Amino acid sequence: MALMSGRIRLLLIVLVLCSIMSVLFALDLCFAQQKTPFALQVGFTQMEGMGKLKQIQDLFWSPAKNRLLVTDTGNNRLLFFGDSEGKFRFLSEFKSDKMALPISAVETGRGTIIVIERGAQGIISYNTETGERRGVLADGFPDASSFWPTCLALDDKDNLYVVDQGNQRIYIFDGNLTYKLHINPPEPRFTGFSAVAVAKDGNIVALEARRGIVYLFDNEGKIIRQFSKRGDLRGETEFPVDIAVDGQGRIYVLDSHRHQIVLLDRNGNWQGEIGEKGWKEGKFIFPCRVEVASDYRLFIVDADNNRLQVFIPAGRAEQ
Amino acid sequence: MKWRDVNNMRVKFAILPLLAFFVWTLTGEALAARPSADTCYSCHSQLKKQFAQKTIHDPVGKGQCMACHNPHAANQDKFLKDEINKVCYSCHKGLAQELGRGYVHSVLLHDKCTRCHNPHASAHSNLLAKEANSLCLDCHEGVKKQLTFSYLIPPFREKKCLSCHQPHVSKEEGLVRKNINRLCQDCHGIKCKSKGISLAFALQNADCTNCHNPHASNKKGVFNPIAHQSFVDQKCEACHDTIVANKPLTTKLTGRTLCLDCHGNKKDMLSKIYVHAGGSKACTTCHNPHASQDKGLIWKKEKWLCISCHADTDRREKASIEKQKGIRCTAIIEGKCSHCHDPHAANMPRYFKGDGVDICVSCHKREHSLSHPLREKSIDPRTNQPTYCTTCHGMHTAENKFMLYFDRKKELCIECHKRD
Repeated sequence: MALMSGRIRLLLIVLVLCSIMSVLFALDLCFAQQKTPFALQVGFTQMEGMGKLKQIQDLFWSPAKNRLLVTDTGNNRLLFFGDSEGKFRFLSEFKSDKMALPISAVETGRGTIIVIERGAQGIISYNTETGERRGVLADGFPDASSFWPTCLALDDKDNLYVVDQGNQRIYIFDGNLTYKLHINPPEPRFTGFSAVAVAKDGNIVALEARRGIVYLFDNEGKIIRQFSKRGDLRGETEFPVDIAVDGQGRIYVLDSHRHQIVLLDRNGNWQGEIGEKGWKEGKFIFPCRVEVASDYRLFIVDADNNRLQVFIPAGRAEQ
Repeated sequence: MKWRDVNNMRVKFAILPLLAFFVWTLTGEALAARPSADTCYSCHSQLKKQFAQKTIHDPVGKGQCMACHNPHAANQDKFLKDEINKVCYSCHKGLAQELGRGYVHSVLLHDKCTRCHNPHASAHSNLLAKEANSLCLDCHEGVKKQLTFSYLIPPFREKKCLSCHQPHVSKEEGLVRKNINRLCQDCHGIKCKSKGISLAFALQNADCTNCHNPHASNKKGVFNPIAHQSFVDQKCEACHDTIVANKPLTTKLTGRTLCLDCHGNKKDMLSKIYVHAGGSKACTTCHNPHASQDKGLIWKKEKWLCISCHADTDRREKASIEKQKGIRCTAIIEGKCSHCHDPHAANMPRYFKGDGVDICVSCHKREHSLSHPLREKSIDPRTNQPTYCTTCHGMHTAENKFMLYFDRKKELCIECHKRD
């Protein structure tokens, strides 16, 4: 009897352990498949008054103007989008005869647009009111001769952050475009910054695409931490191309080859994934740019579908 | 004391597994020993003679045919218990574990262990099917041809492949036994000089194969066959500042600026939307500034060069090829990335040399003459974009036959052609 009860007890223990493991496994599976809840607000390739989009290369949300600046490279123009009558709409177009292949653009609080133009091989500043165009940031800072700007970001104080692939640095200029400081390659094996974004607290988030590493720097350019890498595990990316950071400091890493965004918290912990491969609205084929608005709306350039898609947090969509 | 008197559960739990293990071991031994090799040899008598060689595989020697074979039925050829490599790894566990830890000989990944080893017995050491070095050159024909070159590295001349290479796995690229510069310097010092100044101080940690062929060359000094003209002419000062002993080597200009100073015709590419690998190393990310084995002074063969950054694309391609039992796109099969992509710069997304029709038509002329209407003649209702070949066909990977994103017998057409 004692032996029987011992066996039954053993069996029960095994059963309980199996049940716990099954529950944990199921939870893990659910967690792995969790898609961060964002709902499509609108996806479009054209809107009334603007014609078709063509090869968008950059997005910038201007908190000061509360509007989205889109670098419509293939059409040699910049477009503004915003909310009007409760809908996300095309607002206006900014074009200049001399504008030549803009690839990145930001808008300051004072109404100046700063653009990297591949055709001009430099950075150009436009006054939106007068239309005045002038070349800026050609010299007056270290190693300006090998400066090769590829991407811009702006903080709420109008400090300008420039990804410079020529020197593998991020340069920071103040609102008057005076050189402040630069961030050097963080380690010898470093292969170059590809994208930069600025968090609300002033920390700088940068992406090293070739190795898939995300760096977090303080506003003095000192490294706080680095995380993620290229790979196919959770929190890793296969071919990251862009990053954005929201008001809570969460980091959106755009993985172009997996056609999705990997969401990480400020410590690099995996928070979820957004999007999947597809042609229909709400899905992407080789997305190339991501931007987050102050109200947590997410803008994604769906490159192969030549489409701009706007997502809102699902909770807000239900409201 | 009887079993039921053992009330201490801990003691019971300790005894039970030990007892079970003991019984299992005995049974296993008994089962293994039951049919002897003589039973097998009673029919396969010729094998017994064949196996009487210099090196005999341990299970064969012990007459344990069933260590690898099932005597009654199997899903594998030769009545093997499992796929051949898995059967080998079931005993050679150390090797199986090493496979994930470095560069692996492609035979182990895509072929069978028996490509090199005889599983029963051999006249050569390590059960090799042939003498080790001639076995290597049987497959590596390109390297074999180099035996006819004028200048040969001594171990290569003597065909001692294994003096430099590991046969299975290595932490170093090219399956070399150790870091390439240490491997070379184990036998000889650095002889490189510039205008009489030894460059040993600067090259101690350099990869010798950057400039030298590791096997043979028709050029004195065993230099790689494709060389930068200034390097051939030994005009180091064309790119470098004056070389001073024991001072770091520096270049006159940095990054791409140095290259474009001479190759001015390439400057236009900097005005394009997409400029590849725009970092400070720019040109030297892909090009060897001194001497290379490949045209265009690239560091490695085109495919391997591209994969060194785009490994995920290669992984997807392989998965796709496996799923579709092969694909027909020759550019992909032969690793000619630059057939479709411009390696420097482009105004088309993904560095395409044309739009999603032009590049395909350059090979698929016949298909193009029969194809679905393309470009502006047919707008994809899902995206409101013109239709290209790439609308239906994946370029590197796809789930379905003909590299189609969707099954042409099921959902492909109705993705767009819906009955409203």
